[in-house]
Amino acid sequence: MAVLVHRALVTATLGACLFAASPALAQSNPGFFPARYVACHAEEKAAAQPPATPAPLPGLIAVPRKRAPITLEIAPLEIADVAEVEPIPARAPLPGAAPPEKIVLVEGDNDFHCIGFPRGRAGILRVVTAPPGARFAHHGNGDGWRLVNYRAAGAIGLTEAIPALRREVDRPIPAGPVDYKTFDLLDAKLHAMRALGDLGDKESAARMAAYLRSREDESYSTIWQTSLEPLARVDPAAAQAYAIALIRRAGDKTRHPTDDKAAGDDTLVRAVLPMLRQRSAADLAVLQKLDTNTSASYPAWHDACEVMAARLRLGDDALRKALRAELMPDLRTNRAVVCYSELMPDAFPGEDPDEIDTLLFRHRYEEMLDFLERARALAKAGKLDARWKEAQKKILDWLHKQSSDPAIAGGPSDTRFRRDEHALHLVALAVLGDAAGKAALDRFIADPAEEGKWPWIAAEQALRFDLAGAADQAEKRLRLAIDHRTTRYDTNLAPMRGPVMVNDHVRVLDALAARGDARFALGLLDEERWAREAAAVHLAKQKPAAACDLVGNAAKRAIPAQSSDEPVQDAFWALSLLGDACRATAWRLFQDTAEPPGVRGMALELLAMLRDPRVASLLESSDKRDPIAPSRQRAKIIFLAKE
Amino acid sequence: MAGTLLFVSVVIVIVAAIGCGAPALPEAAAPPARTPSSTFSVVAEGPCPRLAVFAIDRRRFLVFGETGYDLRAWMPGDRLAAAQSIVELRADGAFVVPAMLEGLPRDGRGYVPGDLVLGGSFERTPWLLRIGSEYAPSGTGALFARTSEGYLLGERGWERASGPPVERPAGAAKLPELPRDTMCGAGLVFVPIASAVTPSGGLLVGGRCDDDRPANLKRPALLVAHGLPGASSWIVKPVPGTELLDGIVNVALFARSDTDAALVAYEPFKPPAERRAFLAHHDGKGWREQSIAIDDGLMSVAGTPDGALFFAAGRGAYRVDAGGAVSKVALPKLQFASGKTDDLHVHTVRAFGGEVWFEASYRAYVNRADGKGREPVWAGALFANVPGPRPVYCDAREPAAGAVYEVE
Repeated sequence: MAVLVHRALVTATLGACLFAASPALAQSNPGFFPARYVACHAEEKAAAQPPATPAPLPGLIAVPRKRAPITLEIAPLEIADVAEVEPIPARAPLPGAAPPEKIVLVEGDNDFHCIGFPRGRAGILRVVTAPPGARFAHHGNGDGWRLVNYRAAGAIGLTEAIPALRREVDRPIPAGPVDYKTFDLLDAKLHAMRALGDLGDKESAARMAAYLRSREDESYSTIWQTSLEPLARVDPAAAQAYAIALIRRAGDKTRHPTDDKAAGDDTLVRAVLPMLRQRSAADLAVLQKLDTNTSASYPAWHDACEVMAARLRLGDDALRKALRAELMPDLRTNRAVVCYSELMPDAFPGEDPDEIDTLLFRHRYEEMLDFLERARALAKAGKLDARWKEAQKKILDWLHKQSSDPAIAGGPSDTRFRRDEHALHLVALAVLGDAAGKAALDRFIADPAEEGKWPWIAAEQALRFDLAGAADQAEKRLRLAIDHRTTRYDTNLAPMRGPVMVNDHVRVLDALAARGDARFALGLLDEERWAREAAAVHLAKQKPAAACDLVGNAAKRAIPAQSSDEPVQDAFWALSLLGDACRATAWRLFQDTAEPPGVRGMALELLAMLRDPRVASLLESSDKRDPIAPSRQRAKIIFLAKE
Repeated sequence: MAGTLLFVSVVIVIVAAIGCGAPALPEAAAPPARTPSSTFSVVAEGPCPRLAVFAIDRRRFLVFGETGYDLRAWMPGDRLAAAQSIVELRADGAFVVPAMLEGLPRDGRGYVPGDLVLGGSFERTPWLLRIGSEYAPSGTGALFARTSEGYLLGERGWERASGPPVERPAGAAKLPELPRDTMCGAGLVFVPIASAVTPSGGLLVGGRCDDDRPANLKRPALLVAHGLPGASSWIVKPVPGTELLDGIVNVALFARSDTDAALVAYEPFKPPAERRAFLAHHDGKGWREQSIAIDDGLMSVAGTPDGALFFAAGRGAYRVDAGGAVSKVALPKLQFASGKTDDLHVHTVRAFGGEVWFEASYRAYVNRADGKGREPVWAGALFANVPGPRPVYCDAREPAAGAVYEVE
């Protein structure tokens, strides 16, 4: 029996919105967090109707009576007869003493969505390793539930799942016309690959590449495209090798797909170009064979821009030299004009002082910061020469001069004001030691009135340069995210890391986690799902005990501000990853009647997930207005549930 | 009609069961009818790929659930997602018998993983086999590798048996192990496939000869080992006439006595339309192929006390009377499925005295779980010539506790 059903419509709408926000629209994208109100199921199995006939004898339970089922349409017969063997009488006909071994494996009704991770882990593994076609309790869509568990296995670092996930990638796709089962298989492979990506299984790179190769000439190219990301994550070099091999096939015109829904050469090549990251003369030679015609009459001129950018990354210095001349100071050629956005980051990546004039002239703040990061590394190594120092001074002088420009100083009421340049301008000033700039940066990051993404990007950059108090400033921003919605106006979607959109919030969490700073856990209370999910993944990897108090103490801030308790519910459920570490925090919060019911209730559920013995006496309440009644009902199920 | 007596309780068997250390399970049914009815009814149907009936003494148990065979992109080493459970079929309804599930592993939906086979006697010890199947890990040889876990019913439910749980008849107690390695000649080993017990306690084991090479033998060599009641050695006889069959065949046996037995064989990997009927008869001296006017592969055979044989032949069910006259058994239409009856695959027949049970499967369209259209799934049907119990519907997509139900 599903309990506590409410707000279904809200969640369904939210889910639809989240799904629509994903760039990978073709495949399913199961969420990591459960909807709390349907997560738990009472374990007693009630008959649908009272028995039609009283049991004639003790020990018999009449099967239920139900309404007539819908008449099924018989489908064309398929024969699945196989070689069979009947049991052959072999035991001597003597009363033999049976061994005392007693089977005790009786799975419970509830999964990790209800009972949390310490006790739900085995169930995740059962689902991931279940035979194809297996059905699962309370999950009518077995294929969909399997994907949820793939996701969970990757997110929580369940390395025992790796063999099963690899098998999924290896599973053959039957030849013949594609249908929904083909899609289901491809979808399962995508999610298995994503989980392997989360698990960092570099050994899977070859099988991923083999699978991708097998799908180049087939339907469902959108899933193929989405499946590139896990390969690039587990092994960038293997991803580049795969990309080059594909480009070679496309360039040689050796592809002859028979599937008329297969993607064309241009689509395939465009998809793999971002995977070309490392300088390689051999790879460059392959890329140089591709057309780079950017004339307006050429239908793939936009692709040509990407091809040229990739060539620059692979080390095409001659092309770089030529393009620099065309891009600076004026845009002198057709290709410089039409490919400006694609070429600038790779033509002037901020690698050398001789780029500075261009970066300043074009207001290329991001590349300026890249340059400053390199300068900082050189300084640490004692190799910062006069050219680099001069370039830094030039940047600082330019920044000071720009500080009064309306793009930086105009403020939100000025239409000339550029929020992106303003944020990065402050970062650059702070990096170059400008105290006023640093103070302005700190105020900017912590300003509740700043509800866009730029204070987040500033916080991320501050962490990147390890500015003084950068983590403290990031913490302030994370706390603001608990009850402030971030507004974004750009239409470009952030890149995906598996099913997680790596947006500005997520990047701040990543930066904190990379420093081993437990304050990333505040992301569990973030109003945005992506941040909560990324925080949970970091939590599973690092397991910082400090997360319990950090999240527990901040949870009440999430309750009044948001229209749903989801962040608090998600956060406490995720804290079960820490096992007993959060027992004291949860007990304290549950006992504190000043805490909102949403927090106290989830604290009780967390204690039940940990099977804290103190919970046993708290599972019932005679108070008809019990403010935590829903959580108490769930806690009872959780506490008593079989694993 | 005599068949109405089938499900009447007989208390004396309970006493016998308790006295033998078996659990205190209630009820037993009436003695079987001597004259089998020729009228069949649907006992169970619905999207349950497995609907099989087993007899333990006079009680009838329905094993239902998934077989896991509906698998497209299989890989060597994949397990089949078989998951099954048990209810008892009685004249007064269908019943869950908790004692018949106690001690068995069960998944979150209440099903026992694997294929279930039941047998034995409450007067001695009922047995249960939980058979796990996986596509052969090596990818060669037999398609499936099977592991079998035996259970014996004790006072606290099923308990793991230390060895093979399927008991030989008392008359076969002195028989040695089957000489499997020498029965077929050099380089071949005997693969037992089916068995039959004679009323006087004899035991027949039929099977084929095979080698350990990946490729199948081109032509099957079928043997039957016969242990006469009280004998201390096996009599092994070849079954002639198999030259036209493929190397891999399934075999079924029925023994009316030690001098009157039938063996059928068919090629499982051939389409039904290409299968030929193969029937052999044993007269106590040897096996002889017997022609039969059925244009289908004979998948299963059973006999009734009136001398008739019943055959499940894929595309139909048949009765051959004691005089050899063949007639097609008219199976009734399913109540909750519509479409071509040609698309029913009748694969098994079992007889318990005068009771005859046919098991069949078919494909039926159901709504996809993700709501995106519909898909064909395996479904099952169980027919019997006994009036009762009340028919039940079975839907293996439901948890075990609610999968089998009576229709209002």
